Amino acid sequence: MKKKLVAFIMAMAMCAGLVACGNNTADVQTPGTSQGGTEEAAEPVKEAVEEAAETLEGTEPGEDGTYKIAVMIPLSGDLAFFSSYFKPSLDYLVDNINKEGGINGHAVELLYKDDQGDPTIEASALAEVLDENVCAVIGPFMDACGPVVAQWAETNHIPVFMCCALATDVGFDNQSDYVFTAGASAWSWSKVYANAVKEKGYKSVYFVGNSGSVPDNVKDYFWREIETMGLDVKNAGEIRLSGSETDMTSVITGIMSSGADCVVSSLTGGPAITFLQQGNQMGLFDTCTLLGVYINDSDHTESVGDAYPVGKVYSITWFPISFDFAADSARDIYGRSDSVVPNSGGLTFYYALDTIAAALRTLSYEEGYDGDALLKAVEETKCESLFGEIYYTKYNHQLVFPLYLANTQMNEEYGMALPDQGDYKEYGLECYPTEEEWEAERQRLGK
Amino acid sequence: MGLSSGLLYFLTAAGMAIIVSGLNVINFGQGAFCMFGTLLCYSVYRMTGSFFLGLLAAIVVSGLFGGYVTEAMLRPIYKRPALFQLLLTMGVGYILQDFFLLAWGNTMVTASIPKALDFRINLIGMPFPFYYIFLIIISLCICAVMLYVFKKTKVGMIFRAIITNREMVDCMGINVKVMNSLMFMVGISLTALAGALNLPVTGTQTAAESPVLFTAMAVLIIGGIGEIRGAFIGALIVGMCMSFGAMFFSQYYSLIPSLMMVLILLIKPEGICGKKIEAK
Repeated sequence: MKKKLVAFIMAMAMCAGLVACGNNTADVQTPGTSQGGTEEAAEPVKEAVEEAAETLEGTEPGEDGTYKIAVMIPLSGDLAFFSSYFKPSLDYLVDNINKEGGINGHAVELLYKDDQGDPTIEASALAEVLDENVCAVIGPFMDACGPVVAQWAETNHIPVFMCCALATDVGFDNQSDYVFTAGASAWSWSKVYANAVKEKGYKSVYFVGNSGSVPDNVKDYFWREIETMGLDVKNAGEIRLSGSETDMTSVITGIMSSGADCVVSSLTGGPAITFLQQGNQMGLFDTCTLLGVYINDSDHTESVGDAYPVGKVYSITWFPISFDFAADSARDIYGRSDSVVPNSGGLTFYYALDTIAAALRTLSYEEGYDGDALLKAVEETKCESLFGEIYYTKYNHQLVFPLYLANTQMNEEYGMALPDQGDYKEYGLECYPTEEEWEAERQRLGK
Repeated sequence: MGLSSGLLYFLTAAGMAIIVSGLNVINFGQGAFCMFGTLLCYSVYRMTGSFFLGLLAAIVVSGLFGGYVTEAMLRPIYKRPALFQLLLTMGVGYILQDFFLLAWGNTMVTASIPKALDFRINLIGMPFPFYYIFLIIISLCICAVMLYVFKKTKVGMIFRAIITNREMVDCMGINVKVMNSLMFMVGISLTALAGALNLPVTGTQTAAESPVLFTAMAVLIIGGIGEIRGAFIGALIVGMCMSFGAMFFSQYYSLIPSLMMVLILLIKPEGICGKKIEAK
């Protein structure tokens, strides 16, 4: 009987373990990635957002004459670590703006709100934001919070500048005149991968990804692009992992037995690093090249050290501030904190604020607090960045900036893998869905 | 490849099996102890440059800590229902996880394979990392030693006697509580060794829960709870099935341990090597 009881408890624990695996979104996420479930995550907080919106009525310019902008980032909890990249970038820019006399003579004030990357906390933080009369909101960076913020923006007519990488169908659901996306797009990643497969002549591609809507998008759009390009590329298989899966032995055995010469990966965090390490140990990279994202510029790569498969890993990166043409200016941003190393996420927030500031300069102070006027100004704004001109598309409010597919090298100065300045390709507008493609997809998805 | 993965699961599952059979406690902190082994090995390896010293540190330090947990925490509640002990081990696991975050920070920890073992050999036309063979050898040796100790030595005889009839052993003047602590220490050390050996393979992420606990439990149920031989067979089956599953059912391979566990519970609830439990 005792053993039966023990067996029963173990079985129950197993079920609990399975449930926990399905919902664990915090442990290995990197900025702007998703493990799915964003729509489900939005449901429990929908009522809270609506309630908050009902009790408050829009915003008015502050009496002190400053532009107040809310920033929704995790300042506590497991994800607070990421804000050590975002906050210095924003503080640096806002200090510079204010030192130069502010925007049309008005200072800018950032109101940091701790959302812990959690949609429920996001909803209550947004209710506070309404009380504080802000003209715009920057953030969130976790996809799961996106739907909550989008609904809030639509209800309150306050422009929001998200810094996450939303899945396309979630992007359609979130689409509102008041929502702008400064983060990367899964669809764009797919276009870059498909172009790389064409240019490098790979014949057989295996897909590896975490479970979730962004990896789903990466895979689906990738194969659609391959079909559109008319390439004769074999689908060698696919494997999906839970966020906590780290033993890649079976995964790599499966890939090696498939004969693929290219792996497209949307793995991030710990699993991505283990994949590199075990792949190198098992000889995967003797015959195969990896195309991935978030593989460089990640301090996780430090731990791979000598085992890093140099030359066999290409990673999509954006705002690569380790590149010489950007390094000096960009280091000013990070030089304020010794513990912070170059990171594209920080610059995503930086340019989100930069575009808002540029748009506000074209408006009077009062107009800056008129959400409709501000969104129109943002649509017309083009900014110079360290990486060329950046702007939001009018049809889907996606910030257009170049993506770089770069070989990755271990960098001794930073102790992690960084994009190789001698081996990269820049993708511009061609890696973003056109207005026609966007509308066709909207119709296909019935959004 | 499946063999090496499977045998690492065996070490963790065997550690659990010893604790379950000896103390009648399911150690829900086993995953945290496995991570403890990885982190200890990592730190010592970095400090001294010796991976093998790291392995030794993981075994000794975690074993001693396991002894402290039994003496200071489990012993006072031996007479309470098993649920109390189960909750206590779960609590210890949570405390350890938080301690890892404090001590090592939110990071991913891996290390290179020690140079002496860092080469590949050809097996059936496939390059095979020698370190994975080293894992197989170590695990097989430990399995053999454990079976020998349990079947052929006096200490093993006492352990088996405790599993069969704890009160009777107590009456014979043997200090069952000390033996319990010893079993817990051995169980924890084995799990920590598995974690340490895993350092150059998967490493660990301090902010994440160890995924080892889930697979080790599946192995334990498939092989038969509290059976070291069962843990060995269960681990081999799970490791091999996952490896072949990744080749032929790649989209669903991660479901294999739980599916096998459910099947075993339906067909042979006592597990492959478990003794049949008569309904009362």
